[in-house]
Amino acid sequence: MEHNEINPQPRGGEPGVSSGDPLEADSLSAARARGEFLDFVDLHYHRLVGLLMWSGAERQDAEDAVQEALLQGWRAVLSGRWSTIGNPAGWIRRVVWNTYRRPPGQKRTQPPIAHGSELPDRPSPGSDHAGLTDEALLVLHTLRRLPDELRLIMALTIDGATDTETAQLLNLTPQKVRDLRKSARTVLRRSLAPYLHRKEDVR
Amino acid sequence: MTSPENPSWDAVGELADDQLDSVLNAARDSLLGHLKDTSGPSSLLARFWAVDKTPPHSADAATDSPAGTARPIIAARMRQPMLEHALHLANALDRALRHARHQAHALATARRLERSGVLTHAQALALDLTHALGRAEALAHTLARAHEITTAHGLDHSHPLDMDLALAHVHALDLADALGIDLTSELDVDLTHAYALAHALARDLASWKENTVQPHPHTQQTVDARGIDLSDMKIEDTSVLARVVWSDTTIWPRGTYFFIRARSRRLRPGEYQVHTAGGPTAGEEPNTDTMS
Repeated sequence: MEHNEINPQPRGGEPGVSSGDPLEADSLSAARARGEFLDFVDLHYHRLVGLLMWSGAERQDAEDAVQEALLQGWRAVLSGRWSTIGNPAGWIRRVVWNTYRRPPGQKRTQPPIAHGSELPDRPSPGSDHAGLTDEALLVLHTLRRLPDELRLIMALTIDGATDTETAQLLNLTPQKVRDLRKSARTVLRRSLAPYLHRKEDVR
Repeated sequence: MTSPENPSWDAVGELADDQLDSVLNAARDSLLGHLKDTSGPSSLLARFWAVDKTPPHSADAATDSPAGTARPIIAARMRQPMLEHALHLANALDRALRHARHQAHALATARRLERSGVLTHAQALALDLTHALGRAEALAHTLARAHEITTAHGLDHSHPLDMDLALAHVHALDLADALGIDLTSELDVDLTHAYALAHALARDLASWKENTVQPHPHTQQTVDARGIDLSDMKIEDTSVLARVVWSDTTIWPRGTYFFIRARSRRLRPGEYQVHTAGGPTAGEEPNTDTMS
């Protein structure tokens, strides 16, 4: 492979051949960490926004919170702390969660403007929900009618969080999580049934 | 959980577990797909690089901004709804005049055959022409306002599209004159002339819209108005400011500062961005949570 002096480390890939120079090794390690984090952002960005939306957040608020949390992650990468985080997916979910649920009045760090760049992402045209399927709209609507605790547990369940992760985030025991999820699912089974029934009738 | 009659439903119409899982999975996939289609972390990546380079926030940062672009973009946004309205009027005019021609033909036929419906046809035609005249005057007025914005806010007069706009204004005035039709005159000739003018106007405005509005979705663009004097802009609708980034050194038109501030979120000390949609309306208190 041809050596690229400007960008010696392909994003998320293995480091190039080291000359043994400690400074170069540090540089390659930092480049690798950045590449891995960018892959992490690609993988998790939309899921995290979705998690907050299932939890009841409006899309813009969800995106703001996710961006702020990922910016914290990037700072951890730059300071070398990112590699010490054992479960990055769990960590970022917790940071996103804390960012979104920060009580009103506490200062939220706003990401700086990259001068001359497009900031932030383009707004959703019209309704945030235009383009969603009936199922997604119905589930969003139904979840928002659930009590907070049940809704949050279902949001995390949809996102694929384990009982232990959910319990840690919500300061509950895993057994309590299972009990509450059972209640939430019962409510959803009944709330969503008429819709599915109508859909079956149409067919 | 399932009933003997219908294995999918129990007696109280409750979903089975696998059905619920299926609905939740479909909803999750739909939302994720929608989010991926309509947003992405690309702008976030730009911020990462900004943090990496840790650019100091200097007082003169605004002077480096593309000051020449903010005013034309905001002005273009201001006239966009007018041109949309003009197009709507031109299309309505086109239809009205087509109808008027039918009435004129009916009137001519009735006169030739000395039928009793002459008066009815003449009244209907007069009504059509009155409506058409009202629309033509509104069209001319709308085009004049759009043209004024070009003049007042430094849009490029020499651009072919803006020259077309000026020409459309003249045509609309001609059309209003042409619609002062005397029902005893050569109706066919006058109406054909008016109809041709209206049709050309509708076609030109549609073409104008296609060439300007579609390729340049200004409303989706982040506009840097930091440190710019916008005090002479007549901002009547703050939606034209969507995504405008501004600073404490931006000068707004008199009486608009607090309203715009209330519709903005703070990006960092001294810098703000106008919300894309929604937000407080005039008279409401600013949202201090997002500003502190």
